[in-house]
Amino acid sequence: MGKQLLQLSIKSLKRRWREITRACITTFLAVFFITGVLLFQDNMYQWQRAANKERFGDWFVMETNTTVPNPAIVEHPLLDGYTVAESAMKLYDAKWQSYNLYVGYMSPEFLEQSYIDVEVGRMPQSDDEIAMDWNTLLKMGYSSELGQTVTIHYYSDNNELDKSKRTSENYVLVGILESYTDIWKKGNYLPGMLVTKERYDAFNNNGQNFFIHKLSDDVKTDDYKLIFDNIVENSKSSPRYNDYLYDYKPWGTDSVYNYMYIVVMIIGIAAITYQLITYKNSRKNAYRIMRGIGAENKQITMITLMENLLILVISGLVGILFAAFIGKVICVFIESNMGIIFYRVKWEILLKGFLSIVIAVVVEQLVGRLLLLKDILVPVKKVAVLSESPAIIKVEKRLNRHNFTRQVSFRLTKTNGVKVNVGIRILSLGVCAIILFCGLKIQDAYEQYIYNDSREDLVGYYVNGLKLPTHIPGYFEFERIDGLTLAESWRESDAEKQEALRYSSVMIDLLKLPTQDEKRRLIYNDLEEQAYISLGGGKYAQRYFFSVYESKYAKNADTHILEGIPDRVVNTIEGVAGVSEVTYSTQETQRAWSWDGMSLKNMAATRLLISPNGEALPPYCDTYMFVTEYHNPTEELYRRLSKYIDADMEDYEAFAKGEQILVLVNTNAEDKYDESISAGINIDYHYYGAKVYNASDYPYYEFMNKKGVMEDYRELIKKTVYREEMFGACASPKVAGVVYLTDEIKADLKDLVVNYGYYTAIASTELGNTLCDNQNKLVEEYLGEELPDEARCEMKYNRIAVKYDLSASFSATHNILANYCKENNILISSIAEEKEIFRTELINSILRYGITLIAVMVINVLISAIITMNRLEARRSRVQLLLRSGADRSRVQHIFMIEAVRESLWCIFTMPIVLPVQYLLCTRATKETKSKKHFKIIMAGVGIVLCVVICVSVVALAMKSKNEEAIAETATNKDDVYTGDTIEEFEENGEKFYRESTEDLEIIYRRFDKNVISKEKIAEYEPTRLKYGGGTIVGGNVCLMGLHILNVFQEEPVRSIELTIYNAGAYFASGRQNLDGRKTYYKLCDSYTADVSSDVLGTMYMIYQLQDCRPVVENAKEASIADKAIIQADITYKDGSTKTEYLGLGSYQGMHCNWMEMYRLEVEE
Amino acid sequence: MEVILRAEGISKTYHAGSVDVPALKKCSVTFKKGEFAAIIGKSGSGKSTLLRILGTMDQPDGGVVEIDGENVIKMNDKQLSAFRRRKIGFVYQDYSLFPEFTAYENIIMPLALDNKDAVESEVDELLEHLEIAHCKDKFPSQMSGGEQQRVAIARAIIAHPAVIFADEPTGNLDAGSAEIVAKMLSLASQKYNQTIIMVTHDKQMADYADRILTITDGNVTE
Repeated sequence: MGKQLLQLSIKSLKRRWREITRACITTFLAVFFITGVLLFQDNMYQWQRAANKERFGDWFVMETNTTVPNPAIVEHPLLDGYTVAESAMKLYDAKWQSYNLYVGYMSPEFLEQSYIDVEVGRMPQSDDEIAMDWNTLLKMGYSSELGQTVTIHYYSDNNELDKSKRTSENYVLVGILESYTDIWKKGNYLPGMLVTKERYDAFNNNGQNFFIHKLSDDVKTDDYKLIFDNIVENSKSSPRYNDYLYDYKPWGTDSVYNYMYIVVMIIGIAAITYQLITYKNSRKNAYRIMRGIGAENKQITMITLMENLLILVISGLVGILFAAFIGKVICVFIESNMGIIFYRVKWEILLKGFLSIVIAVVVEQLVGRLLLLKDILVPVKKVAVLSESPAIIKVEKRLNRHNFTRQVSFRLTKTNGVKVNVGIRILSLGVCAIILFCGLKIQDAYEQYIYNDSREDLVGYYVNGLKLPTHIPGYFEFERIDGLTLAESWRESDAEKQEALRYSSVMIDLLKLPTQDEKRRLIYNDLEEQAYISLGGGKYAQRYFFSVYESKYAKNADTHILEGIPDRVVNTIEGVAGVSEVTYSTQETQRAWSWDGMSLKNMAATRLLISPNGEALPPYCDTYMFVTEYHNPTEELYRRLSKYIDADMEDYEAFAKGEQILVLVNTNAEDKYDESISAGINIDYHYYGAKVYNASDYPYYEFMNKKGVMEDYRELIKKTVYREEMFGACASPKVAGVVYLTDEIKADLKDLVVNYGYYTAIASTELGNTLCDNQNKLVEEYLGEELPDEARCEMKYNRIAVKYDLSASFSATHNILANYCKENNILISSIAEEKEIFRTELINSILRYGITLIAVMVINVLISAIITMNRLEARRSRVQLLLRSGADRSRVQHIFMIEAVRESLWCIFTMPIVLPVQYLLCTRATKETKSKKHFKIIMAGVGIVLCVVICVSVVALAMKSKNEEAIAETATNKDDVYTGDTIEEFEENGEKFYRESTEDLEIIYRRFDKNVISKEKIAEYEPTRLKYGGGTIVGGNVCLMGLHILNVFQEEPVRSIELTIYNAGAYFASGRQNLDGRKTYYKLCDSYTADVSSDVLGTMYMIYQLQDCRPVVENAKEASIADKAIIQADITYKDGSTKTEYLGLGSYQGMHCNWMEMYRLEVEE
Repeated sequence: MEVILRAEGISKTYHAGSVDVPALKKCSVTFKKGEFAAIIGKSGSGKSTLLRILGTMDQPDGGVVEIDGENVIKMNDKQLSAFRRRKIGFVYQDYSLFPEFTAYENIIMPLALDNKDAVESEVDELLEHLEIAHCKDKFPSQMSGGEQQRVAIARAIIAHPAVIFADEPTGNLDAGSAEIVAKMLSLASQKYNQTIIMVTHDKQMADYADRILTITDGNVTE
């Protein structure tokens, strides 16, 4: 291109700035749109990740129980520094009950890395000041008022066994921090109450440090767990992994993102191409003139390219920058609200934005080349066409004033040619079909979402920490001996020996389960503490029970209806973003049932004995014995259950009153259904138990004890609840239907039942109320008056059902809730993941098909606009002719609009958009000044409205996605605050451990790795022989060693066993608390030998008694060393042969006390 | 005078659906250098068709066109473009000026396309002769129809082509302006020894020409 031509071209651009600007706007908007969507995609992920960091802290691994960080972890190439928090003293309430919270110190760096912000007030600056997180504040029962005095109670040196070390101090509350102790993984071990560094140092403590290590920002992977495993392997330690943050998969699947990207690019490129074509059309005349005066194709192409590049490059760049800027503005707003930083602009996104321009240019050039190719074949004719060839039309009808508009329109349409007309209609039809298809897909996904959305996403129940066996009441027969009381007669009877069999399979045959009739024939004797059944003929029934506990096949009960979810937990759950509804109900597992026809054999009771030796016990088995779910008895619920209820038993009123239940029977441990329950029978719901000694794990006892009235009512309870709990029926609902559970039924009822038992009932809350009332009445009848309020039990809600809304998909709601429940002792079952599939599928469908729909509509509108503009251009002379002939502008517009309407009818969905666009173009073409102004005003108005809508939508989205912290305004009742046990299995130096924490004690158990022990290790310990009969038994402290030995050898023909216990001086710690507040510890201190007789039963039995020792250890944690005990069993078989075996004694969560498990060891030479 | 344009046996038939319209029937015509010729005929007689063929804007179905000794029918697109720049000037009925360029810039456009520098004095002189010197820096929207058409004439002349073709140059002008334009064409032809072939349906305009050809039903007669 010559210099002069170049100069003229530049001048032309300058002088046509308005036209150029219009062209630039289209490109700007298209690139802005593409870049904006791509930035949205990328930063949505970043936002969610940042939101999770803000919630769970920006750390990858956390070291605890160490004074200095592990060098291998510190120096790990993928980790990026660490900060430290220090935990000092454990905190107690005024009654010296542990809160399971700590006071300590957090460095400012730790706070910053953890995103732990001070919400109210400030951090402590002097030694008498304190700051707490919300969870700690509420758990301790304080209000949010700054300046109030906070009293803390702790044991100096952290030795809770030494009352002389009890210390109370007052501090001034100066700050409240965002909750983290109930949010972070194991957050309750972090100090929830913070003091100054100086004050922390002044604590004389054996606290622990927390080192949190950050992952380098450069690390990008789909599997962070691999990195963690590598760190563990390299460091040979066991840090904690922040799976709450790193294992969470943010919303958005790759396929949707890719699809969005492709569609967005298509739309953007189409828009830019459209602009290029439009611009080219507007320059047609100029190019025609240039061709006429001798311009070469090459020259025209260069000029076109130069103009377009100038337009595209500048406006494209501005579009990209503006998108990045707007994105930054929006994200700054979100970041400031959420206190996180996440916005980033990747260069790949900018490149993709620019790529769309390049592709559009290439596409347009290709189209131009194709057209030019046609020109080259007949160049002269093409260039020389200054006026159109006349079209010869077969005149069907003559024009007259009646049919003028229609005929003119019709004939003009014909001038398009058949191919064009048919092509336009086929295109419209295609667009219509695509829109319909997309709409149907979205509707389908929506309907599935609605159907599944009606069910709760998450159900959970609050585990209050008690672990009770389920006692199935039965009895042994005995004869009354003249002159002796029933109790004395029992003790003299042979049947007493049967008592020893209660943990054996023999018992299952011997123990009788009373009928309901028999149960009603109880004898109460003031001299006796328990009730007997008179069987007639001088025979009586000594009540006994078959206990289901610690079996591989059955789970200990852990919920009852007298304790509910703490208010602070409820408030937090309700406040989580993405939660739309929370409903409450009650679930219990700690109630025994009985019914006529009940049989231990049908219940596969042999499998329900304590786990056999050598088998690894899972921390929790899956199946409870008896479960009842108490629900609000709505008609909707009953309708849902009625498909499982016998038709002749349907009675909604009875169900609502609590007189009817639906029973779901699981396969038993032998994989068979117990058919002894049938519709129409009554099931006795037994009273809650309350042993009066050492009975902290009985619900009624716990309830009374917590209320502080147990001492007042102890005797009363002995005579009432204690007597009645075995055989008395607290309520006897009728069975409306029996369902044998299958996987399908379980899935169908998953939102109603969190964890199935072998026997599960769905009942009305009224039944629960009745049970509480009857429990109260039992005591009141004897008392002769009403119990005071503090001693009356009532049903509490311990079960939640949560529904999420659509935003849950990108608010990480399930992740937050599931982890929060885990930290706060709520066991959950969730169809959230299934629902999430439908929710995600709905969002994906909306995105995928919605974007397709929009894209197709936009393209259809664009194409229609291009066709219309070309048509108007081609018919300009006709338009002028009509106008000069005296036609009104409106008539001319009408003529064109008839054609437009006929065409747009082929795609009715886009008609509302296409017709107005065509109308606007038409009015412009008729050059009506007013309409031009109107056009500009309308387009400007549409543009402003669109901008406002987009901005409002973005802001609304940002506001809705903001995580709101739940803030309780009032202090909660301390009595409602309770945290139960958690169990964590972990490894240290290749050995397996359990860590169990209760309210008052943290116990670490160790198992022998792989049940292999070396003789060397055995030799390390001093052997002790255990003597039979040594010591005294207090209360129910029967050592269970016999049971365990029994289970090891029960199938073998053993005549006698002599036990040698190594390291018998060690202690087993019990996590339970006695009535007088002391802990109970068991000490193996005597050797034992026992004769084994196989005469009576064909197998062996033993009775062991161990000396019960009151606390003698200084530090309760040392008690955990007891599990190093090894037992050498020298066995003599019936045939005279002998054998020596070694048994390991590990610790686990036991029945009355959490202490022992026994299993065979392999001994390495 | 030498023959500057020779057309022999030019035929052109238009096909519209099933109807064939013969616009030209083996026309033969020659034009001499410096000649101002007018081709008149009724509407639909084929005069515009003939002009477009002679002016290389269209291809005949048969025949030969030689301009300045070169057979333009056999030229390719590139050759034709170059030929048009240097040897042909065209004046359209609708002026066909670039609205964003001034009169001066419109005039020098063919030179710019040919990568030649314009001599401003030459352009000024041309503007003077055409009595549009005052329009030198005006945009077409600021000029009357007659002035615009004279600018178009100047653009056609500036490269000193072999032939200038004018297709109804006065068709969009009032009588006064038409007369001026016709005079200017005649003047240009005399002054620059320029061959001008004008198509018109107006006999009065044709009278300004040195030679009048009549085209009737596709045949050319003197």
